[in-house]
Amino acid sequence: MNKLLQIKNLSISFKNNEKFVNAVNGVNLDVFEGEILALAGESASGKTLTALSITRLLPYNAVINSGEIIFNQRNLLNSSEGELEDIRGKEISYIFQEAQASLNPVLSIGRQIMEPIIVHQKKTESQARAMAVDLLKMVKLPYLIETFKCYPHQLSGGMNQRVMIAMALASRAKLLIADEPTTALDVTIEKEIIKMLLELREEFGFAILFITHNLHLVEKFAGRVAIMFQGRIVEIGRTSEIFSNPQHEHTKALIESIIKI
Amino acid sequence: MILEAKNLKKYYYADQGLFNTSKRVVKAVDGVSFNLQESSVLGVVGESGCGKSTLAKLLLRLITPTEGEIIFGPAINAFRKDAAIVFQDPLLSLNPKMRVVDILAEPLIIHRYEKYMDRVAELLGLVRLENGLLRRFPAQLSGGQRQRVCIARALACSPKLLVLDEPVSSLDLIMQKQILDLLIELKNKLEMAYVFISHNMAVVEKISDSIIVMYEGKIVESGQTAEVFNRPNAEYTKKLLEAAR
Amino acid sequence: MLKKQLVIGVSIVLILVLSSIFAPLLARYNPNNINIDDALLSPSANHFFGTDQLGRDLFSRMLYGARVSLAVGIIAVGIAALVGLALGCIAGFFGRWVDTLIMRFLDIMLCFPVFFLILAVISILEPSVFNIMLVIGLTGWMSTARLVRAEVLSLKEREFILAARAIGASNSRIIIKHLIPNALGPVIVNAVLSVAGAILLESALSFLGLGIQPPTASWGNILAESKSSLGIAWWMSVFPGLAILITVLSFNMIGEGLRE
Repeated sequence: MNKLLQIKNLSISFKNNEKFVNAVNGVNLDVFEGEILALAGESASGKTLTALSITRLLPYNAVINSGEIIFNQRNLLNSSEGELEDIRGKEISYIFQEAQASLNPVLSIGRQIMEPIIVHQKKTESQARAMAVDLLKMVKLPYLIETFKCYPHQLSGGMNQRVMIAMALASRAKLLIADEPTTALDVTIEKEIIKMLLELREEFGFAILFITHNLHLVEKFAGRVAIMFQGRIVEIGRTSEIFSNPQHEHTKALIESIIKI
Repeated sequence: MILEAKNLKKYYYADQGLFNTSKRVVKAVDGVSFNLQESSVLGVVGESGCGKSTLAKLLLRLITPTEGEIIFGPAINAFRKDAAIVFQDPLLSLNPKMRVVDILAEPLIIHRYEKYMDRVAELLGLVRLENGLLRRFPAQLSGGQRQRVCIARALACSPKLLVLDEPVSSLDLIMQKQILDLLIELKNKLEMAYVFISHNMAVVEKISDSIIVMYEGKIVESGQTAEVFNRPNAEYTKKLLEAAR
Repeated sequence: MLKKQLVIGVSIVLILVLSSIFAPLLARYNPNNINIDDALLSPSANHFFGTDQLGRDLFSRMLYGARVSLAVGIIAVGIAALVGLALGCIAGFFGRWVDTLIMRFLDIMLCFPVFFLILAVISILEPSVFNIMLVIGLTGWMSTARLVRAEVLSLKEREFILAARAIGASNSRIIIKHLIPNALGPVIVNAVLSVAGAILLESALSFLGLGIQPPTASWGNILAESKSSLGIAWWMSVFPGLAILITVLSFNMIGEGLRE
């Protein structure tokens, strides 16, 4: 398998009350084409910062101290903002925990899916509309035509997350970075969304970098898992191996804490 | 029996139409009945909007039911002492301007305990918090420590009934397990009855003697925990179980 | 930057307060001592700020005047803040008809041009220092009440208020222990900012002759007395004017600094 993304020796610090705090410390991580890699850890372990740094979407008070992020033979940390804008949402797509907050409240769902198709893929209005309808079908949004005209606040959290996924699919991205995509959702909806993501990955072959605190979910569907703790990756490997034979103390503690039926 | 709910209903009315001509009814809790024995745990499971938080507030008499009644057993005398609640997000349920010591002393002062500082020290021991944290404000504590403070506050007047509304959902994985273990330990040590509300089937299974499954304000299934988990009847329960496995 | 603002503001106010407290030590003359021979002397080593048309030392009068002006400003605002806090809390917490009653009363108060209301009241009452504080205070609570009410409306929906109810806290306990401490921040900022306004108001009243009555000195009436000799004795208007300006400015700096 080929490496799709390489993160080398990434360090990020955070400015907090005039002081710099190291949030990410020398992280090395490879994402292979088409794989599902989970980046798991507790809150404030640095997993979200790592994910955001990939296309330099960091908050203003975070600074990248060192490292390289190689995607398509290019170091994204040296790329211009213009180049990054081409990559974001086109080759690397994000979905976040709060889908509704990531959508524009004054544009209809259909419009929001069409917009990037028209801009990035240079399609006409009617072509984009046809594609958007197809995409909504793929993410199994019910009552297609009605949904097309809906606004984000009229849809449930799960439906909005489906819209986000449809937008990510529109660009045929090679890497989908999903930051706690189901944390805000009910468990039954969570299951449906995850199932759908897996099916879509089968069909389109994108890789998923899955950021989560939910190890139960990781065990169920990630191929590989990296455990983050205090800004470092303390353990990485095949999910089945890590769950059956954890090496690091923190991994052991995490696995022991999973509450199962 | 410590608690019996009879056909409990809580409806909310929202004005609708240009001149408030019609009223939209939201049936948050719609005909819920159950009973709870002393020193036992009732798990309430359901997803967002199923009315479980409204039920918690009804049980604590923080809101009044539209219909139905709640009957408390002889163990519940002075209601605000004998029944207590722990909410989901400890940061929201602690006054940001009060120190830990004042938070813990407050119920004791309200109910006129003498030598309440001794009791505060006892409470810290019960939830395993260090003495050094007494002078801190909630914002200076970790999530797990905050939830321990909330639990200690609820335990202050030695309640017989504790309603726990998603007490571990806002916590990190390791902390979830620790708090859950602590709650089980406290229940056995202090002989309390719990109403344990959660969306997480696995968590509820660990602590409950019996459970009710709620959907859109109604109970869709109820029974002994092992029975419901092994032989679920309602489609919705099956779906929840499948998602959790 | 804003912290610097706060430090400068606090130090100036502190200097003013201290010098007014120690006025008897700092003043070289009795502020009310008339000496016609020394009338209208320009500033010199003997009289730092010069003398007025009755030969009184302006520097000494300003020191004693600071007592009155600062006291009126601070106490009037204190009264306004207390009234505003109480009414705002009650309106926000109890809602319904209590809220309607208080808020409509507030609207009525806002309808009156405050300055003319004060003029009218003072012309009926005797213009003593106490009455002036009271009147300025009782006509200045509306913005605080609005602020507190809005704050309480959002606070009372917070979960920690529910938690307090669940442990059996009474309404008065919830208001005093839980609502007020959390609503106090903006109230203090608002109060500090209004001190400047109250000092200006007192000065304006005194300037019109309805404020602090001579011979008691206040910055406002020193300024008022200067108007007859404006052309020949610039110091009589410049120094009290400057004092008012600097005080107002530094209270504003404190208020802005605290807002951060």
